Amino acid sequence: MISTDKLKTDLIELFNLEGVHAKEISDDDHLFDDGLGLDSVDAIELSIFLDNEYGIVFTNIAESESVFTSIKTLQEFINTKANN
Amino acid sequence: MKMNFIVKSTAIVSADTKCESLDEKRIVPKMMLRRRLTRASRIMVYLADTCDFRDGAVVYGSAYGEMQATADIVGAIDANEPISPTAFQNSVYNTAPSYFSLLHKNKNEILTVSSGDDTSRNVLQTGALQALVSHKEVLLVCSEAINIAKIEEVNRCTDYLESGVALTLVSTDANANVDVQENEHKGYAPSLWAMLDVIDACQEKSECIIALEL
Repeated sequence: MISTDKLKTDLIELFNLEGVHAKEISDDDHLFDDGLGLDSVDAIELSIFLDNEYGIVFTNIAESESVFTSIKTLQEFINTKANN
Repeated sequence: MKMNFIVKSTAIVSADTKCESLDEKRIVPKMMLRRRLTRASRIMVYLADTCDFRDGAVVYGSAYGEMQATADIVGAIDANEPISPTAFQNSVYNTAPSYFSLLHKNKNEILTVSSGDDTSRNVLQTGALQALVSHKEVLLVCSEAINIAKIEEVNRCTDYLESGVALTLVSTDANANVDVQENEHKGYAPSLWAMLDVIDACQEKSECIIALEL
């Protein structure tokens, strides 16, 4: 199981979000656009991270789009996969 | 054929391991751009800022290119892991001037040169031609950022794992007022020497005019 705090810390490190602290990020913050502001290159980077860290591989784009909506949707997805 | 050029501004930076005072937060205020900058990119935008240059043609040179991104890619291949798209994006020779152009929305021509120890000599020649054709100020930058793991096992060319040199040129009909001498610049990678020769020649001139062979 991964906590949202751990996930936020991982994302800050993965994307080199200089000056951003986990406590400043809401669980409902979007990963892209007006949230953390990640872009399409980051989406691929995040997919590789999930594969390396949790063995999660997306089989279709629609699934990754819904999972990558927010910190919370991503955390729930990782934990669901970890329990399977 | 020799032509004459005014050296409008110059800048140098170097460090044994890592240049610490590159003023990135001021020069690149947007964190989402700053987070992606490679070491060579940080050096380049710092040198350009020191030369007060934001808009215009750029000639950039590096003998060794983006060493960390390249090492990351090789490491991933060796470990049979997926290649990071950020490392892939950052591994090309023109990464530094590309980030510079994004930072300043500079849509002018950018040329990148890599020719071993002759890199800055060829950057000077390319930049001189660019200045001659455009009749505008041109930024010339050469940098090397080779501070990767175990580099000491193969590095025989420089004491500075990060270094860079920049100058801006404008063509002129006036006569040259300094003589550029070829020297060895102890500690610096030979790929920077030709531009360091120009900076040395211009050190005590308020308006330095050099002759360059085209």
